[in-house]
Amino acid sequence: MTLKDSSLIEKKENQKGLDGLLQTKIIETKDTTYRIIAKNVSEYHFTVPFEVHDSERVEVGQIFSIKDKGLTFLARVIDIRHDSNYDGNWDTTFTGTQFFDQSQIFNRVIAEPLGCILEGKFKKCKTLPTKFSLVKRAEEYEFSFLQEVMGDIEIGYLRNGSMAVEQIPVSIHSTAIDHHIGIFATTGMGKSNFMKVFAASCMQLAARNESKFGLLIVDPHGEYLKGKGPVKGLMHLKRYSEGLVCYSIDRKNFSDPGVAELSISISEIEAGDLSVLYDWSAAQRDALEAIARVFESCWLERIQKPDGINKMVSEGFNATTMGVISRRIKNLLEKNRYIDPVRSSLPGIISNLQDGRVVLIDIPRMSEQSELFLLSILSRYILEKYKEESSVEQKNCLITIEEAQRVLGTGSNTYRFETIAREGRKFGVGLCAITQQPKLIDKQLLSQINTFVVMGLADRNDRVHLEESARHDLSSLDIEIQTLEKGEAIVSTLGIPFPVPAKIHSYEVYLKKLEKEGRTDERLVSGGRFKPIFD
Amino acid sequence: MLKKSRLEEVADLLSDRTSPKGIKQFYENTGIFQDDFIQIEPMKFDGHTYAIDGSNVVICSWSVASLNWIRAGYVKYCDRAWLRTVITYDDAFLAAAEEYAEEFSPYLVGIFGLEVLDLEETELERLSSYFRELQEYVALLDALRSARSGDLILYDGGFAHWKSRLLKGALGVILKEAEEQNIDVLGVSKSNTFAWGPDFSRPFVQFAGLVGSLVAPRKPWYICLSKKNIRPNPDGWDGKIYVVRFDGGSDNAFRVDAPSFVADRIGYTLGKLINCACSAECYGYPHALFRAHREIRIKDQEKNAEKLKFLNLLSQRGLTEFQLRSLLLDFHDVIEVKSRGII
Repeated sequence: MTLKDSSLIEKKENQKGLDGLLQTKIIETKDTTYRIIAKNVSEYHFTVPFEVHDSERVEVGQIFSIKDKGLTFLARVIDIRHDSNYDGNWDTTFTGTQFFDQSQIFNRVIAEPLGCILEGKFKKCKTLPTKFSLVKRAEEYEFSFLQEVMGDIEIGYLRNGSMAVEQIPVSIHSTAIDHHIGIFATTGMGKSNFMKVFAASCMQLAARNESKFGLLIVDPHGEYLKGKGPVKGLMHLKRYSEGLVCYSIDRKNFSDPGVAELSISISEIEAGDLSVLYDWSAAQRDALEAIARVFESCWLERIQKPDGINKMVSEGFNATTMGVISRRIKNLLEKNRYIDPVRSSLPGIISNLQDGRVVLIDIPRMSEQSELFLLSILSRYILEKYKEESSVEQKNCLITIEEAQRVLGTGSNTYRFETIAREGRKFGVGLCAITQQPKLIDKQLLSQINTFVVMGLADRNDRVHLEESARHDLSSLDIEIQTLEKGEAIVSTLGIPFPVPAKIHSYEVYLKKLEKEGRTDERLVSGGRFKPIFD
Repeated sequence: MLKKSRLEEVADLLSDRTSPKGIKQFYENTGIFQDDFIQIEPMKFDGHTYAIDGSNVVICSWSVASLNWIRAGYVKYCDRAWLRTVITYDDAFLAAAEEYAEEFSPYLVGIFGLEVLDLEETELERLSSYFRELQEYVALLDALRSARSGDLILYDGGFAHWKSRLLKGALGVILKEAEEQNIDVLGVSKSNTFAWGPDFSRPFVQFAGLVGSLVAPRKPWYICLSKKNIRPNPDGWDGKIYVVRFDGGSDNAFRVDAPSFVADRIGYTLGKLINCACSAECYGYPHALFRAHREIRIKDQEKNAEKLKFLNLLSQRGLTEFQLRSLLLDFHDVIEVKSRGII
């Protein structure tokens, strides 16, 4: 035996001894992240690698699932932070630019529990996942419970971070609409698109005779009827045109068989309707309130004439005051040509709303005051009729108000809309308040709104105002609301157990889908579990 | 004028003798000159780097013996990427004069093929340190067995004069095998006792670091201490001791021990290492050693948990709290009115 052979045998013997004695533990690069590490029932923390492929990045708003024995917890990411296993400022010195131990540095993801699924049933979390439970991106089948709680008015798809979960449409319940809806977004975030999608879904239901409410849209911008340029309008949805009734003040549209000329009979205007037009003084307000009593009928015509003014003066009102009122009324009638001595669209509007149709009032180029005046008449008329008639067949009604802060703001003198916000629910009348400045809406009125569609608000005060009034707790979603992109929304509504992140359909794409509906089984977007949103 | 206190005298002495007085004095006293600072050139290194470390804490002690927890293992790196951590020993050790042979034998005899350790009475106090060192050598051997030719193994500690050390047999097996397999082994020490100067013990490594910064600014370098005038004398073994600054941007230099077969190619070996000694977390120190230290150290929470488990076991065996206190109490704690914690 050579010296080398002897050494080899000795080494093999040693190796046997080494293997027999050691109870080696090996830790490798696996399962060190994507595990729950903290914190409590209302907030979960887990770690993800600090550097991942773009497709693996975690985003605010993404939903993760944590399987823990029989329970599946769902949690939505509300914040992501840099973190490491090291103390001190090692990463802010110049050495921080050198290499570092990638497995000791990670991102800490902070997620808010949405709830947990037990035997297919969703419920609120009253416990927390076991520490170190594995965390993974939620799959579409884990959202299937949502399909059971969604409503009938489709507005978009569930959104997981920036990705749409096309298998789970987000739909609002018709039964929630008389609890009022608020659409909140800064300019350009997709309010008009949302309203058209919402209206299209309502038209679809109406055409199928499945509608549970009528939708009134007063459009001062003339964009809903036929759209503008490549942007489509509601009339382009021909398949469900039966669900739409249009009134317009624009002569260009009268030739269209689907559009009727808007007219309001002069006898249908009440003195109270004028309150939104001007900042009336106390004396003028008193006079307006007295006019109906003094003249009983045709007050609007008579107050414009000298004998009408004299009669009011003889009743003790100041001549100057009456002069101002008379002059303003003349201006009003001059500017609002749809006010007619005889004809009125109001009965037709009411009838269509009660039948559950979408009623679009197209008033392009109308001044803001005139728009509010018209809206005031319509709202008052609708509420009165719904108070009077409460037949089983009558369907509820939703009145849309653009720039709602004008009439629902703190200190506004438009009590009529406030009345609907406070009492409309009893009579089946809801408000759909659209605004880019929710902070200006009276907090008490905001608290009457039970469905929030929040679509990106840059102003912190707006967000705080909403968070304080929302039915669901939106405070944890502050970062997500800030980072919402155009067409993305958070929908907090009745019947759905948590604020749902949604990607609102593009109206033009949704239009195509609705037009093709029933003809093929083609989907809006095809293939893949999650479809990135690029449009 | 008031007479200087003893404290002031020592402060004067220390500031006078430890502040740099010029390179010339350093050159004259140590025999180390500018040419001795050899710049390290980075080498392309595709192999693996292993770093071995160990940890030793006292769980309980009772005048004649102590129960320690010992952990040893290593980390494995490929360039700057951590691949794995391997723990080769993670268990209790009873440091008692009558028991130690049973603890050491399986490893000394079973793994290294050596005889049972026979300690002198003075060495008994260091039983747990020896056992920790033995376990580090076991880890080193395990790393060696999984390494390939050309790989680099770093040991947290020194090798110098290993033939006169207690566990020389174990280290001998390791270094022999490393040489046969052409695997570089270096001992990197975070602390050392090297001093220089004729009349006062000036810390050598710190001074050498300062001088290196002047003669080779922003460069990694090493100096070989063989035949230099340094206390204690670093010669007398068949390897070499170096002082190394692994990264030019760092202020720190370290003592590095290389066995003779590595000393022959020390520039090349260090060149494989410097690319991984500039991590943000521990700049200027080999990153694998940094991670090995952090992964293998026994934390206070672990120590306390093991202590609780041990006390629980004693309690289950019928010992009362009074008996436990009597057994484990350090009366210094009573005198110092210290909290006695668990016991």
